[in-house]
Amino acid sequence: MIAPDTLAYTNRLVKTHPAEKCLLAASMLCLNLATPAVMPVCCMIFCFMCCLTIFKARIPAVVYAKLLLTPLFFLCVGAGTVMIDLSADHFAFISISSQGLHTAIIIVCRGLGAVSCLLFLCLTTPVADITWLLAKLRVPGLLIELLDLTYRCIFILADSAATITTAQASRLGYATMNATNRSLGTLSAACIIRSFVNARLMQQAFDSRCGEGPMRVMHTPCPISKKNIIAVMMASIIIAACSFIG
Amino acid sequence: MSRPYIIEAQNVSYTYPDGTTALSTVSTGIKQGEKIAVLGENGAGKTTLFLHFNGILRPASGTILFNDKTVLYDRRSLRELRSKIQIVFQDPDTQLFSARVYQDISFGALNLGLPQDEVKRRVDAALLTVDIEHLRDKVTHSLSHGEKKRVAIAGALVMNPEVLIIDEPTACVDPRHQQNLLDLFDKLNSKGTTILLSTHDVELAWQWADRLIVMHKGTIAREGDPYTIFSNEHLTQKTGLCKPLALEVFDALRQQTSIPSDAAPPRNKQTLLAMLNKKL
Repeated sequence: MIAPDTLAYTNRLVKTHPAEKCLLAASMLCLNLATPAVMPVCCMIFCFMCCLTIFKARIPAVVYAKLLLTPLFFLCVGAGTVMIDLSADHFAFISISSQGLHTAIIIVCRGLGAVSCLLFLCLTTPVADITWLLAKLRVPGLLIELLDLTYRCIFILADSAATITTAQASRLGYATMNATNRSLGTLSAACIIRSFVNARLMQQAFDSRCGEGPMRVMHTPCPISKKNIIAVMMASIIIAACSFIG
Repeated sequence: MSRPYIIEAQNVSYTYPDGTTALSTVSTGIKQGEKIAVLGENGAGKTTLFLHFNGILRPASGTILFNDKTVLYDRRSLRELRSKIQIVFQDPDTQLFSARVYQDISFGALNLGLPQDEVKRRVDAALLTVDIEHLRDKVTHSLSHGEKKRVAIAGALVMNPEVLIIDEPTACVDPRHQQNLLDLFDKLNSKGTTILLSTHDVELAWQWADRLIVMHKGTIAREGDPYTIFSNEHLTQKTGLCKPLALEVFDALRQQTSIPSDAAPPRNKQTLLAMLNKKL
C-alpha cells in the first residue's frame, strides 16, 4: 500500500494553497460536530469530503477505503458498546434499546463525518505545508520545530527499525514465540539508543550549519485562490442551511 | 608552498567522554585551494579532527587556528568560523532535517541572516552546481542515498564556504555517482573552494588528491604528496593502506623495462594504459 504521506505530496490538490484546504476541513468539521440534524448533514459531509478526496484529489478509492477501515473499526466498537443495554429489570440482561440504537447511529455518523474531514486534510496537504500555515497563524516556533523534526525523524526511525527487524528475521529472530518476544525487546532498546545517537549527530549538523535558536527554512509560496475560498464558503453555507431545514 | 594556512591544528588532543582517546597531539593544516584526502582506518580520528575544524568539538589541549588567529568559542566567532568552513557529514540523514529539499538547502543561508532574495539566489545556484534542480520540490525522505548526499552538499554550499570538508563522500555511492561527485569536487576546487575529504578508497585518493594526510590511532602518521606516501612501504603497512593499482603496475614496469627514471607515475587508469600501449 502506498503510504498516505506519499499521496499527500503527489495528489492533484497539492498545489492548492494549504489555507484553503485547512479552511474547508475545519469548517466542515465544525458543522459536522455542531449540527443538530446529525443523520442527514453528517452523511452529506461524509459524501462531499469523500468525493472531493477521491475524484478531485485523485486519491485511489482502494487506499481511501483501507484508511477508513481503522477508524471505522473503533467507531463500531464504540457504537456497539453504547447500543447494548445492561439491566437487571428485564428478562434478558442484555438488550438493545431504541434510545441506545439512536445514540449509536449518531456516534457513527458524527465519527465518519469527522474522519472524512481529517482524511481530506492528511491526504491532500503535506506536513511541510501545514507547519508553514501554523507559522503564519503565529503558533510558537518551538512547537512547529518539534512537529517538523518529529515528522522527519519518524521516517529515519522507521527506516532503522525496518532494517533491524529484517536483520533479526534473517537470523530467525521471529521463528518462535519466545524469540519474537526477545527480538521485540532488543528492537525497542536498539531504537531508543539509536534515537539518542541520531539526536547527537543531528545537533552537530545543526550547529555546523550555524543553526541557533529557531529553525528557519524558506518556503515557496503559492497564490491563494479567491474562487476556492468562495466555493468553500458556499459549501459551508449550504450545509449549514441544510442542518436548519433538516 | 608558502601560502598561509586557512585552518590549522596545533598539538590538538581530544578524549571522548567514554575515555576513548580520539586525537593525541595532532598538528596539521589546510591551505587555500588544496585538494586533500585524509586516509586512515576506522577510529583513526578523521571525523574527530574534522569536527575540531569547524568548532563542534573543542580540543582538550592544543589550539585550532583560523586564518592565523586562535579560534574562540563564543557564539560570534563560531558563527564566523562555521560560515567559512562547512562539513558534509557521512550520514546525510542526520544532516537533512527539513521535509523538503528546497527548504533544507535554504536552512544554512537563512541562518547567516541573508535577505530573502539572496537566499533564493544562493539556493538556486547550489541546486545548479550540484546538478539536482530536478529534486527541488521533492520530499527529503523519498530520496536515494546518493541524492541525499548531493542535497547535503548543496546545503553546505549555500553558505559559500572557503573550505568544504566531506566525510566519506563515496561510502555507499555507486561508481558512476562516485565519479560525478569527484567531478563536482574538482569543479568547486577550480572555483577556489578548498576541499578536504576523508576516504578509505586508496584509488580515489591516488587519482584525486594533491596532498594526503594519513592518520593512525589518533595521530598524524604522515602527510605529503600521494607518490611519497604510497611509496613508503613501512608507512603503508603500519597504517593498513594498500598501494594503488596504477602505482603498483608502474613500479613493476620500472623494474623490468626501460621506463625513464624521471617519468611521472600514472595517476589514473587512462594514463597507465597509455603508458603500457607505448611500451608494448
